[in-house]
Amino acid sequence: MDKKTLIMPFGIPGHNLTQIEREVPADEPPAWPVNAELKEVGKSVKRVDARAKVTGQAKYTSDIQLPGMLYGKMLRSPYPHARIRNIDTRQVERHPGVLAVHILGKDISMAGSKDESADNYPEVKYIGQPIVGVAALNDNTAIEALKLVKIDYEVLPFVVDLEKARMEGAPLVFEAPVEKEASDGGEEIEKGLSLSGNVRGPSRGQPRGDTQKGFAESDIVIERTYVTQVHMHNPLETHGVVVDWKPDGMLIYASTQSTKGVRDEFAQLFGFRKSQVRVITEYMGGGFGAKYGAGNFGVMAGHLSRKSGRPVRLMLDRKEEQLTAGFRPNSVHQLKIGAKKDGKLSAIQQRSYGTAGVGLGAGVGSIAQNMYECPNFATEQYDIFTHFSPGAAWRAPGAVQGAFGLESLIDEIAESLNIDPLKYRDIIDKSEVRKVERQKGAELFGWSKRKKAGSDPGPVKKGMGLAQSSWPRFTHLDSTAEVRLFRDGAVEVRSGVQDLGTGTKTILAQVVAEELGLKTEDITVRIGDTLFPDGPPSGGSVTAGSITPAARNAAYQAKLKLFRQIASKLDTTPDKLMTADGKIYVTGEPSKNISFADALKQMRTEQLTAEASRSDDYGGMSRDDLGSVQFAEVTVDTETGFVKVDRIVAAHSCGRPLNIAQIESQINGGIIHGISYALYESRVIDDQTGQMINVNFDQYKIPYAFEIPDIRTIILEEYPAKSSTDAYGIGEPANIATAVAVTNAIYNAIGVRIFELPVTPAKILDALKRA
Amino acid sequence: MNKFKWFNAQNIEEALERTNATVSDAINRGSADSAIIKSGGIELLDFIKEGIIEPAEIINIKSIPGLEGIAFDRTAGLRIGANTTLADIENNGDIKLQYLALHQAVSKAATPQLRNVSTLGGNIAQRTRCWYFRSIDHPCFRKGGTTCFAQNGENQMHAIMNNGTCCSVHASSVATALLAYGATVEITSRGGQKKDVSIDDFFVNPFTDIRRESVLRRGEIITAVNIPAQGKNVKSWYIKQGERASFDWALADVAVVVELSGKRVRKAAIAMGAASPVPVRSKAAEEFITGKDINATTAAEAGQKAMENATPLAKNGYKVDLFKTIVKRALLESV
Amino acid sequence: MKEENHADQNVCAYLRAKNPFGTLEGGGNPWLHLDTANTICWCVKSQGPIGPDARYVEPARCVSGRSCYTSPEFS
Repeated sequence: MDKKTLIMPFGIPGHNLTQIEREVPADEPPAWPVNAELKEVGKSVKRVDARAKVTGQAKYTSDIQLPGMLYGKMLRSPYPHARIRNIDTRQVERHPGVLAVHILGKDISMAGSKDESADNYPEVKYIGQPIVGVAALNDNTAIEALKLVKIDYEVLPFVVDLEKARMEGAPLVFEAPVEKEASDGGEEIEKGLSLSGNVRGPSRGQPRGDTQKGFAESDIVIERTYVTQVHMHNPLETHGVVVDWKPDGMLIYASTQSTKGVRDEFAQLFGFRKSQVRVITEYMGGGFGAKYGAGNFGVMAGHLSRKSGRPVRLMLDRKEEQLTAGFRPNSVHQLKIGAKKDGKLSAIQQRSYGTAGVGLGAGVGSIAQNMYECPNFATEQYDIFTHFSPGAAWRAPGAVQGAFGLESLIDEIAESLNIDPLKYRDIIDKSEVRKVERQKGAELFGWSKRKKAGSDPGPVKKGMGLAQSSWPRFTHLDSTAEVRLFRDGAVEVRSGVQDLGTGTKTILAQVVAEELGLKTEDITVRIGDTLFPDGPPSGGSVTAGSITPAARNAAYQAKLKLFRQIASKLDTTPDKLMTADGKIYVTGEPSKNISFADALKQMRTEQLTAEASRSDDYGGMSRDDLGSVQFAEVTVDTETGFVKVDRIVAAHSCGRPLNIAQIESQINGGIIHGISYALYESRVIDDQTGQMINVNFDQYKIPYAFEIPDIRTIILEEYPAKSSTDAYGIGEPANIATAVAVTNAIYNAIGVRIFELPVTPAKILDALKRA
Repeated sequence: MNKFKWFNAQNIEEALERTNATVSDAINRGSADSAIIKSGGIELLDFIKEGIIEPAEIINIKSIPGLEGIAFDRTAGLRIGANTTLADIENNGDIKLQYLALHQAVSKAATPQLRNVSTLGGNIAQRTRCWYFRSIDHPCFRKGGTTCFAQNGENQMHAIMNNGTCCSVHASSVATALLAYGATVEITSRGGQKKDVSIDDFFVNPFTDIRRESVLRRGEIITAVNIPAQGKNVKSWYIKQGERASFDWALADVAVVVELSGKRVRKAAIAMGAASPVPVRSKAAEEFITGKDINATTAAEAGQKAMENATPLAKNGYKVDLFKTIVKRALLESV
Repeated sequence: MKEENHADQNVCAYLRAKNPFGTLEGGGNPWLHLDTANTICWCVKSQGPIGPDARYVEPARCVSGRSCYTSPEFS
């Protein structure tokens, strides 16, 4: 591929900004200067769909009404563990309001669904596991009709408690797998990490050095166990779809974080080519990591639509959402850290376990491995299977649990060494980004006013704490956008990428407007439809960093095409043209110009279109991370145990910030999630029945107005020179440090550490009594 | 949610004629043909959504004229119609001035939006928020089942006194204040027959009757709550602690009403909600504080007395400390 | 984390994964290094982490030899 060299801004303005040469593909646009020199990018721009959202014109999946649409509902297992002996659907088949009935087999694809015999019934391994679905004329009829289905269960012993599941003799969730099997070639192959009872693992990450030696050389070694709870996703829009199956293809409206992922799965399951499946997610009410793939409800809707010949809507209700649609796994995290007198870390060792129900992924991530300099590191992370629905990725999976341990213990080590926790990070953290964030954050927060732990007089005490986070700069390279210019003046950007509510639409419009010298409001954004070029899945905070370079590149290519058509009209050559302020100029001769709208009128064809993708990272894959530092001030009532978070200062980096207001909004959301995780939310399961008992917003506590503190954000501009926009996401970084900043502040208030989330009044009172 | 008929009652007689079940009846005896009264509708809707009851008919009494309103008289006291919304009580100047603890309790209930529709009658007639009771998957004593799941289960929110049978707690924080003021509940039955039931007698303990939490029977309706006039030297205060500051049920709440003579307490009522299956007064704390000045020492001691007979369960011991603290603080704040 | 290297394995066409860094589409797409202790895996055919054979789903086990295995070539 042809290459060219760009000189790009590199580093942090006001700190270490410089320039760097990058060799990039020849068709990439020129480097943008820093935000101060841009018109649309890096400003607080109003969301392009703000009006549609607040007026209710925005149509979410649950708003979709198709002609002849039926309502799907699923009958779910009331038992955590059972075998299905028989399913009798004869009565429900005769119900006049029911137009289709479907039983999910072990294999729920088209091929698998042909066998509806008892041999094909899957074993029930969790409460809420879907078994039979109906499509009816309305929701109530569907619910009523499901009562006519008779299922004969053989109820089996179950285990839902993390600790009980680890014990010998606990009911098994999975049979022990065959550890070694012969491959086709006859040689034995290792089949993954070992399973013993319900304990699977350990995953050893990427160990380095020799921890034993490291601890032996340490002047101080502290070992603690940190416990975190199960945290529900609680998107306001539940999981769900509207599916319209036709013999020649499917149309699916889905509340999803990946339109192309849903398309690919439906195509595979129902025997279509990808081009025959269209997935639309025009507006979406949040996912936080839980909304990937077709979902058993989606496949059920597909079968019901196929059988009835009508579109079928299947949205989960709140109880189904809580019971079956994912959660952040809990964790028990033993962490041991050794340090020298000067504070330098000499060894980190962690051992963790947690449960994602019948699924994997209950680890504590790699934050302890990555954030601080330490020559010796070892980890053992175990998954414990339980008879509960599977967990799901949740806003910085693993990192939030891991950070609670790591940043609590670093705080404790700092105190033991008699070093201010803020200064201590200067010793052990080599990140330039976090260094600047610590300086700016501490100043805005007033860190210098922090007092000695527990020194506030009286029963109501205030405290200050801080914590840091690290998150990899990850991007999804299969990300493409198209820009279309219309003779009537319209400019449109198109991609399959979905907007989870984070503001993807607006940043796409900003980037295209900036490239074309137009205003954000001049750009029409059409996304969330697989008829458009594939966008990235929105997970891992990849969306902004993946799709905005593609959109800028497409706008740049469209602009070059337009220049080629228009140059002769300005008596120049295309390479002399530039755009600014709604005009096309001849470089160096500003009087020779034409308005962008007039230029479009002179296009040879009605439409001009260009498509472009995300390039590989300029200068190779990035090894540095997205850093944040958050500061918290709390008030703790030591007589009642109640904690109130008074204020948070959050300093964050996300490469080149694209839309300040939207980034602030996402940081606010991450902080509120973090406070909620620190103090309020926790799934409660009744061990006697295996049932989650706080399945609604009455009993599952999320924060409301009085729980939200004063939040101030510092958004660092930093230019890693990695892509044509240099932007990165902020969704996950915003959520990692908050909870532990709060618990460190609680310690500072009361002088006693809490090792288990959420920090309820009961835990505060208990800790104070034991102190 | 099942389909049901809707009837807008125009007068009390009409409503009582049509109704054939209370919520408690429907929960325990089946709701297939039940016609149930609703005022604000918040409580009833929750039960229907969860599928715990499926009433055939809902009789709306919010449409009955004259059932709402607040009347205050310096000698006769306060009369609040059953259909009066919590928001109207919260915003009433006389109540804020004369019955501060009631004002405080009401203003801490639910959310502004819910207070705009929920009524006083519905509030005191509501059932417990015990998560087992509210779950269709848990057939507990109170729903005609054979066990109390909370006794050996997730009892962190549950009762710390009188909790041997069913350890649920009554949900109304307004009731805590009404108990401290010695309110009476006016109940009307067919033919316009009225009776006044003291608030102490209005709530029913589970060991008396597990199927209900108030004396209300079918064919009866709450029409008003009366609170006696309070003397000039009466002071009151209310404190509620939930898990959250906004929109939450009480883990512990306390209303104190004290009559002073100089600085000395002549008479005291100390009512606790969320301590016991029904709101209770602490006689021990009241007796202790009577005849004494309220200060940090006596208030703390009263808090200790209030918890003398506490029998916390495995997960709710912290509530004992909560009550000790808020009894103390409510006494101190009242003066 | 890249303890487990599946890039060289013929992972089942119906396996999917969501790790902290994004989604792995499987099928004809290449598999990246991933750490299953921090990765949510699911089978397209069962739409969950329990495979059609009632065993759990993960890259190391969703390979040739498992009864429900489908080669990416035939998907």
